[in-house]
Amino acid sequence: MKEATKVKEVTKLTKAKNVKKKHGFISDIRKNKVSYLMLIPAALYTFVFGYCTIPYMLIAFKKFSFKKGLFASDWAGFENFKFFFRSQDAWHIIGNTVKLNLLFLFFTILSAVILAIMINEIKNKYFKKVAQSSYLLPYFLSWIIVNYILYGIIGSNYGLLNHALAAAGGETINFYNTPKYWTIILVAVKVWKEFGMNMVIYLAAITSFDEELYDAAAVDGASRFQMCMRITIPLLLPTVVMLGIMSAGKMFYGDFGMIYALVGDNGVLYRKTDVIDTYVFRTLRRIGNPSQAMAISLFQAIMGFLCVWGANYITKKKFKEGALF
Amino acid sequence: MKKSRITMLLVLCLIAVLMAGCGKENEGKNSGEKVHIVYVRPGTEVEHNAELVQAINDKLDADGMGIELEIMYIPSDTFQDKLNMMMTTEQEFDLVCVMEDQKPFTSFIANEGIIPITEYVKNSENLQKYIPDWMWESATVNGEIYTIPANWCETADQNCAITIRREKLKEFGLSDPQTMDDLFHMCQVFAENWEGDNKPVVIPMFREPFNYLFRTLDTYPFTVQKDLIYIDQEGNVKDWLETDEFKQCAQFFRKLYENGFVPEDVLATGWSSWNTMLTGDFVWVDQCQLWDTEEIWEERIPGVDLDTIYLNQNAVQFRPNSFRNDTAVAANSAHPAEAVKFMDWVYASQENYDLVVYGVEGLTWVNEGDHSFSKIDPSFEFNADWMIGNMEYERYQKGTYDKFIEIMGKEKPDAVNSVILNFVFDPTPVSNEYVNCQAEVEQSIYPLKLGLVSYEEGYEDALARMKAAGIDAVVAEYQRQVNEYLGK
Repeated sequence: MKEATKVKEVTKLTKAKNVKKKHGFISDIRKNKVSYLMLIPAALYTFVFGYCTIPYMLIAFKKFSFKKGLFASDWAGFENFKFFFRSQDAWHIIGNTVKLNLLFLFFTILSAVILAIMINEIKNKYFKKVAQSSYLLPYFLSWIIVNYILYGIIGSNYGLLNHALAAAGGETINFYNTPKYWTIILVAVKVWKEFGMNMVIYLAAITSFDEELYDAAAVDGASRFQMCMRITIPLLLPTVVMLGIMSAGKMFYGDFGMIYALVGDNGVLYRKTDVIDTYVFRTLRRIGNPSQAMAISLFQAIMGFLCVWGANYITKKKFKEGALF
Repeated sequence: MKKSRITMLLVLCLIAVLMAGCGKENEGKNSGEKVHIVYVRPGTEVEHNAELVQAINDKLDADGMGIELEIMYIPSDTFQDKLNMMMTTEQEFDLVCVMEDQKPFTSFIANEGIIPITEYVKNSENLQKYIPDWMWESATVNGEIYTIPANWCETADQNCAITIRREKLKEFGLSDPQTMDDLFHMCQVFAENWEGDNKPVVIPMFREPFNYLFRTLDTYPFTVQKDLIYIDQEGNVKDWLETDEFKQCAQFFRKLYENGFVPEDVLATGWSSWNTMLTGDFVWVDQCQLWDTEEIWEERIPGVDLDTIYLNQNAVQFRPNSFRNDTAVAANSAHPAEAVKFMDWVYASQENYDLVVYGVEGLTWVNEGDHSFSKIDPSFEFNADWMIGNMEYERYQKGTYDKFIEIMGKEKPDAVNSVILNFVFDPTPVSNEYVNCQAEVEQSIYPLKLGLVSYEEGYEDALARMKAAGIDAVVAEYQRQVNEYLGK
């Protein structure tokens, strides 16, 4: 009798498996052919540039020879890491990189969320569109252009700010020779350039919220501010956390394009502006040793991975809806 | 259904485009018996490129060289990065343009990116004839020639001059400055008499040592490498920061800075020496800047009369370095012999040189006789003289300043050579210290050098940082190699 029950159970399980198979990966591909086809270019790109390049990480541990190639070059152990970690500024530069990234992340998210909520409250649709587009515009400017705009504002001789200070009877400031202003300058410029794009993401999330929640709150006599605090922000939080976790992966990468365009080779400002990427670029541009460059990239990638994993782990414990995996 | 087919077709097209980009670039380029040579150089593809390269290939055919040339352009701003990438991924190419101020050929040797070409060079009659022996010595490491120097200009006394506005000196009743005090006085007179909204400034090319100031010092001549290493003519090596010569130059620039003669934003990325020069509001600009014709400068700054002068006329003519640009053969080259053979062919006749450097006569340039020419499009530049040129065949644009030709194009046989003219430093034994010291130059040396920080206030800190970066180890290794080179 027991045997018969077992057989029945096995048969049931097999059937269930077969049913599951029908809804498996292959059947999903069959069902969504076009969608998967559209995924191919991105998947190929990721495969070629994301995975096929992984073996090249070996050069971080090799005395790389262009002639001998990847596998035949001699092993160098951790020698290629030394130039950075033995430099007097290594920890200061790592600190700068993380500090600036945290400030960028915090202020960009904060301003983008506030702006998205404010724009969502605008009733005039034409004004809303113009405002949205205007905030988005800086995102599409290159850092080189942004640099000239910044120079036009804070430059010593021709800068608007110094002209205004002089006109008001104040003393002009040589910003390009004074490091203490540069953390604020970098954060302000980064936020100005990127909060428009972040705002669009949050705005898209806000517009998908169930309107009935707001209607119910209105019936209960809630003000717009109360609705924002009790409905919009809590519902927006998973998106904010998710984007935050994704940004954590870049915590050890300095925004080279930005910082090099704005600061360049101005050694006076390095104390506040030098990040891992600018330091490595400056150090290796004459020598151009790919092994040393890869060693630092590998360090950044591992730290980035740990940051994403750590941020996700904490989120999963404290705020499950926001976790990525 | 129809819509989904169209979408599928579009996606397939997208994939096809993506895959097309992954193709090997040099595939199928061998035509007949000819050997295909790829020359990699900085810059973007020039107008008429196909016609110009075809003209070169036709001449190569006519001369029975059995070589076919392809020029691969890499934008200048990403040149070194992309070149590294191409070498790392073992992409095949043959000749590569080397810019010594960006990445010297010795750095390529360290990673075996370029190969020895001694044997081929010795069989190249024209290369031997038009590139002097002392230049070949500078291209030799461990007994092997690694690169073909561009002997396009005389390096003696080339970058130890300054460019001034001659008409302003006349207007203000000034004679040519000879000392640092004269220079400071010149700044004061300019500032007092200048008409216009902007005060005239000094335009320093601070990425190179201030060689023009060195002429005014008692210990001249000496050589300064990358603002890091000082070498006197006895072969003594010192940390440049710790020398009295550095101190004198830094204090002079501090005086200029405090009096407002150095642009406050000189280190800012938005500040440009070139744009500042174009305003005409300058007292002097480092080095010889008479690059274009007098007519072009008249258009840029009406009434200008540019001139290049030397401080301390009694100082000896001095040749601090050998060559600044060269052409090497890549390690991945399948045809190193033919690559060198092509270079030898370039210097075989004026006709070959003209084709490779200036393009096709009548299409891109007009022959004005006596080693001069006019460009049909003033902005056009094919494979510039500075990349691949040679003084034997070089042409100057009609209307070029005589002074420019005198400085760049006339050999100075009496010039004193730097004791390390043909010495090539191998940083491998102190590579970590060397790269850190180079990085430190921008942070510690430039602000002092330009007077942005006073020498008295900034010296101790800068020295401590240079020591921490490993300057002592670099100096010791440099001294060891120089001693070995000089046979001490």
